[in-house]
Amino acid sequence: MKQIVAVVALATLAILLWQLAPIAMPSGLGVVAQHYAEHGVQDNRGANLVTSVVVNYRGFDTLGEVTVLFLSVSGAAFVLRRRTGLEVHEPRRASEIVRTGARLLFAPIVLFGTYIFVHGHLTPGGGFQGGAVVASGVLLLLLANKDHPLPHGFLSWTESLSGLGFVAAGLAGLWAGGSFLANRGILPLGTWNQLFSAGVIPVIYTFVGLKVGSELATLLDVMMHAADEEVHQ
Amino acid sequence: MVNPILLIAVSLGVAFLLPVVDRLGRGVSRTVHLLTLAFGMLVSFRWLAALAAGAQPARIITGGWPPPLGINLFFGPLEAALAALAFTTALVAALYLAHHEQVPTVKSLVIQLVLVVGAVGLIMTRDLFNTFVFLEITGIGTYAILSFGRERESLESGFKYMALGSVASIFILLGVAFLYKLTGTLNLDDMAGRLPAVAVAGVGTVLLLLLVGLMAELKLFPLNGPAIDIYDGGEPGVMALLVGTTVNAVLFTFFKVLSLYRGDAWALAVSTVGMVTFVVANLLAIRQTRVRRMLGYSSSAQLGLLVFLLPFVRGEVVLMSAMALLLLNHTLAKAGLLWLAGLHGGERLEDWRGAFPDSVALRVSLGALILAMVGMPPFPGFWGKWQALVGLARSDAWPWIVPLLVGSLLELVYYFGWYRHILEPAGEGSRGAGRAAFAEVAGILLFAGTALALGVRMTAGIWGGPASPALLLGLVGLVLLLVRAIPVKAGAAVSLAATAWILVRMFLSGGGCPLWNVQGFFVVVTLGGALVISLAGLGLPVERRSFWGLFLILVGSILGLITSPSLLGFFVGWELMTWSSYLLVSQGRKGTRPGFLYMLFSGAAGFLILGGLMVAEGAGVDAIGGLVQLGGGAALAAWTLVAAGFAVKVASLGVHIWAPDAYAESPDLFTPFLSGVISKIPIFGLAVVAARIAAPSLHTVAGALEPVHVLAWVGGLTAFGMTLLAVFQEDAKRLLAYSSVGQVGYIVAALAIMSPLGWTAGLWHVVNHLLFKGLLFLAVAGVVYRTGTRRFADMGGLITRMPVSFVSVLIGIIALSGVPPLSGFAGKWLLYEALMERGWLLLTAALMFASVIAFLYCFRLIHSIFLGQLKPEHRELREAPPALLAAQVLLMAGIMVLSVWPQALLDPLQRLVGATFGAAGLELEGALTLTTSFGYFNAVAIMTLVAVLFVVLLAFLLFAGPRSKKIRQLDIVYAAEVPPPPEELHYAWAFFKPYERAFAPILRSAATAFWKGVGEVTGALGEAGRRIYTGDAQTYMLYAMLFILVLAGLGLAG
Amino acid sequence: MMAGNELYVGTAIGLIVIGFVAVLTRRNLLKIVLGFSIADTGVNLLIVSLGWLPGRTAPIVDDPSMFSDRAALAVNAARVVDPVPQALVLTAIVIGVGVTALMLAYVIRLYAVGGTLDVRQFGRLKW
Repeated sequence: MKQIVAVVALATLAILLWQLAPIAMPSGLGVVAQHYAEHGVQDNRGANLVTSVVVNYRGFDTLGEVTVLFLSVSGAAFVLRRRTGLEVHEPRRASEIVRTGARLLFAPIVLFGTYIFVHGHLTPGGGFQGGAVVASGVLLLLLANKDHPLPHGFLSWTESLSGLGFVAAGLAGLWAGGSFLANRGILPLGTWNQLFSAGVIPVIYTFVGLKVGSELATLLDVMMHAADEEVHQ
Repeated sequence: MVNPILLIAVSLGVAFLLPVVDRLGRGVSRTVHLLTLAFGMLVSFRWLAALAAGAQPARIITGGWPPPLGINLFFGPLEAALAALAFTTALVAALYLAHHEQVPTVKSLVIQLVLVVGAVGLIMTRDLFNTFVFLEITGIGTYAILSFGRERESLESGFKYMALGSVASIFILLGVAFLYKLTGTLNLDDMAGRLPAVAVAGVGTVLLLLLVGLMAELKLFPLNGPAIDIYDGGEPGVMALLVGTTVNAVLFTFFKVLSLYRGDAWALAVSTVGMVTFVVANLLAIRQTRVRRMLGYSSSAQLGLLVFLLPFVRGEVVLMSAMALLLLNHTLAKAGLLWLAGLHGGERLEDWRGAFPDSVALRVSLGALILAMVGMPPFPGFWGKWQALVGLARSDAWPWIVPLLVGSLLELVYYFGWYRHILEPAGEGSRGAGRAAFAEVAGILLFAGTALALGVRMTAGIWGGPASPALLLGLVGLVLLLVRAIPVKAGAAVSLAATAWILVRMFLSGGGCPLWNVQGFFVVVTLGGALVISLAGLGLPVERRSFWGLFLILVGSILGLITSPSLLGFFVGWELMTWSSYLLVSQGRKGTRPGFLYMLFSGAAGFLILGGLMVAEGAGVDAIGGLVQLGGGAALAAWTLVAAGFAVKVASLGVHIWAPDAYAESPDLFTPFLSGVISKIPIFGLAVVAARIAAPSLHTVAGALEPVHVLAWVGGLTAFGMTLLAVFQEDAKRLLAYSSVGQVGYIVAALAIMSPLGWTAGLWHVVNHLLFKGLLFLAVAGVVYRTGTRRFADMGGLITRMPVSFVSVLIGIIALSGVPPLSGFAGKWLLYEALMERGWLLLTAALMFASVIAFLYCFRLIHSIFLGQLKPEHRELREAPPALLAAQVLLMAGIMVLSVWPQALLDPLQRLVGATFGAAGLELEGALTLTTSFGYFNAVAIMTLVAVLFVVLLAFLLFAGPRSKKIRQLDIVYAAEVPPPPEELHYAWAFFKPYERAFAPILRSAATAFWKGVGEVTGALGEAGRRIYTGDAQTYMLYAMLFILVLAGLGLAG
Repeated sequence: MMAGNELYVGTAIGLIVIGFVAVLTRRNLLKIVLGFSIADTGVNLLIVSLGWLPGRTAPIVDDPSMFSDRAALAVNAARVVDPVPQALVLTAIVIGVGVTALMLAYVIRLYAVGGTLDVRQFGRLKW
């Protein structure tokens, strides 16, 4: 009964949403987007306009976004702080080839991730994408060997300091450029399409990449070991 | 001044750093956490102070770009206040939570801190998508911290909450994305400016998506299921944190986003959903047995009320300050109550019996926060509600006042249902604070103290500063309440000194006799009553330490009520009187149940009066003196509501069911005041408020109906019915209780005559009733104190043991029955004349008949208690304590003065009535004779005549009558019979049984059955209604889908 | 070339509704979490498609000639799709990941305390 009501309701909802399709039709750039498209490169000297929007124009959103990730990882660890009631499930040990292969691949994956977030202002990608790639390397390690030792101290420090770095960069903007996260007066904006350009944007994106990478790695670790007796702090 | 963005940046930086700091030890990370919150608190309060002093709000841009290119923030007075509240709550919540953590981890600190950052960001941001981001931060932080408590329950409820929250965020995100598409901007102000120009089909649907998403975040009906569950399953300390931070922030966000919603349809939808939430959540709460779940329903209701007001605040119908006060009040009260709930740990209402017997501070805080929660003065919520109501009353939105008051009444039902258990005497199972650490109670004391301090300040504002006697008495009462070291007897002494001092000062201050105006008259009545009670209190011990503190608050509130020139000041006093007298009634040994009933009916009376006052406010009248200007339908409506409220409060026939138990079960020392003074305050209301409205215009409007005639009959029937019921009582205090209600009925009838003579009679009776009923109740209190019983069947023959009390009762009943020579006669005589003068002959007859019946019960008082055989166990009984007797002597002296020299009171009453009606009702001839249109009487002559007759009769009986023979009570022989229960053998048992049979059809109380039915139906509605919260996560989410479709179907889409 | 983006919008709405169906009718907690993920994906797709403009390219200025002067930039502005929804969707994705992670943590613990993944077994708090 409830199921039928649910399906009927959702069908109606679909109709309601479909009526919005005309609004969704392409209609050109809005005022704000027009400014970004026209002046974005001059404003920030970053080739990738999306990155300019993410890190500078709407950088405050991104700080919030980093916070969301940080918070949900902390939250997951908090929810999983109790260890009772779960059976420790020991998976079949992966073969030597898989484990060695994972270790071998780990470094290139991290390097690739780093490349992505360092070049966030030039090419598609950025801190989040790069960080996710880095974390996927860790995932590979953990899948190959559940008990692969992770440098918890290093991850924790990276997580904290990169977060702090983001805030510090924002405060530098406040101090030098007159507003929080401003991209003026801290680092030279440089020349368009160079690695060292776009002022503080690549710096921030590097912090984001480090933070996202270490956080997602921690998250994987926490989830993998939700049933373990010992308590990771 | 510190840039407000640092509130976010610094807290966030610290939050990121905390896991590393924790490596230095948990103590270090805790300290850093607290310091960060303290920094935030300091900065917010400094900004608040600066903004209040006229500083410019901070307009903050980020990324170096002005809006709409970059995200901008705004930090004005509201933002500063909300941020200050959030940081303060978070700080004290952290102190509390540190003691309640089962598996301590630094993550909890991180989450708490980020939660505040999210709330503050939400409060400050002016960008729609940024709003979404901060909504998610607060959301995720909430989901995470919800798992703090008992695991299974907290996870279960937390998951439901998270599931509904996720549905909500999908709706919100869709809405935001489409709004960007429609307007090309994400800045809220820019968007609000551009949106009206967008004339595309579907804008409504987009706005609806956003609206429903936000409503789900706010947990409005019917989407409030998970929110209520988390109160049930989560840790109370966590809920307190959420109430002070995210809940307020989301509400404020809703307020900001409403700028996008133009047009009445949206405002109506929002207000309706809010009001439905308020009423329904309060209704469903009344059958709750679990305290924390009940608090959940209450939170939902309060949030509903605030949401209801938002469109009106936007439309400047309701002041922003009303909103702010209500929100502050809810935060302080709800967070405080949650901490108390966590500290106490009682799950069910019964577990709270006599809670916190070991801590005065916590008990007072608990009481204060409950009173704050239901919007009682002096707490901020009261002022907020008043301002909101005034705003509504002065606009087209006035019909909303009705559901608002109904919901408020329902709120009283369950909060006082809970408080009832708390007020029970502490016993075996009472839980105390035990060894609670200071950190745990810091928040409770801070929040309760803040609520109280703000309240006192606002009350001082309306009652003319801290030097006014009303406020002074209240503050002294508060000190008595809080300082455990003051002995109880000292409380009585303080009360005696304070009332005497004010009374003396009044008479010495010059400017004429205080009795010359209605206010002065009632102040003297009140203080006189209080003085006598305080005197008696030196002899008669009270059971609860808090008696005198509450008593002084009560007296102060009555003074404030009487002397305040404004409607607001009057109502502040009225409600203060309501709750302080409720607490005193509940102090009786079995007083909590009658107290509960007393509170409900008083609350209902209060809301009726409030409704009437709002009609006046709606017509632009805010002073009592201005009520005469009311005209037409407004006058009739205001008068009817106000008079109905007073009629409930004097326990008129039909709504009298609360009175007998409340009078009978009150502490013996308090009943005389309840009967002598508090029952006269509605009379004051009738004389001052109702009469002003009625004076010129009512007759012309109502025409033939003559509302005052109806009121007179209400009074008359009450007098008749209560007198009849009094006759059949087997309990001395219950008998006097019915008698009191009946006597006040006479006064109502007298005032309703609206003639100089009628008023003279009524006011005369006010004083007379205070004197003789005070006397009777005090005498009975002495008897009860010595014998330990109130039942006639357990007394008898006490004349030999307690002769002074006997004389008191004798004088009392003579004065009561209205026969010469005592003062009651003059009152009755004036009343009958006034009634006949008005031509209400049938009413005259009814009242005369009632007076005759009154003889029957008067007789019982003297006969059953003092005459007959002395019980063996009473042979060693002593007379009542001297101080109690002194109080009785004082009252007897008063009766004698009025009897011999009625002009002492009639003279000032002449001036009083003359000032009101422009004509006096009777003439005073010389010093001793008074004359009316029907005749004259001379008190001294009558007194002499009666005295002579009495002496003659007595002499005849003593010397010429037959000798009596003493027979002991136990000289009864049972010849092999089984003796019936002892009380049935008593000569006074079921004394008027034959009459009772004769009157049975009239007596079978329809009123009790009716009100019981009302209670049951309401309860059943609440019981049935709450079943919609099935506890199933998917059902709750389905409600969200259906809700959006229903709103779309109502035409909001498109 | 399609005149509009009905396909994307339609798919997005379809994903949202499919996700919701899973959320509202599946008993398994994991499937409910998956349902949310699917619905999130639908929303994300919808947001991106809102910024889509026919025939335009990604908002990355990779041609040096585009940076020569203001006029060229104006021309460039007419070449790219709206960068804002792309930035927004990035945030939305990350938030979705965060919520999913937390939900999964909840599910792990719910399974630990309840020994089941059936959502109906977790409705003891009610009325």
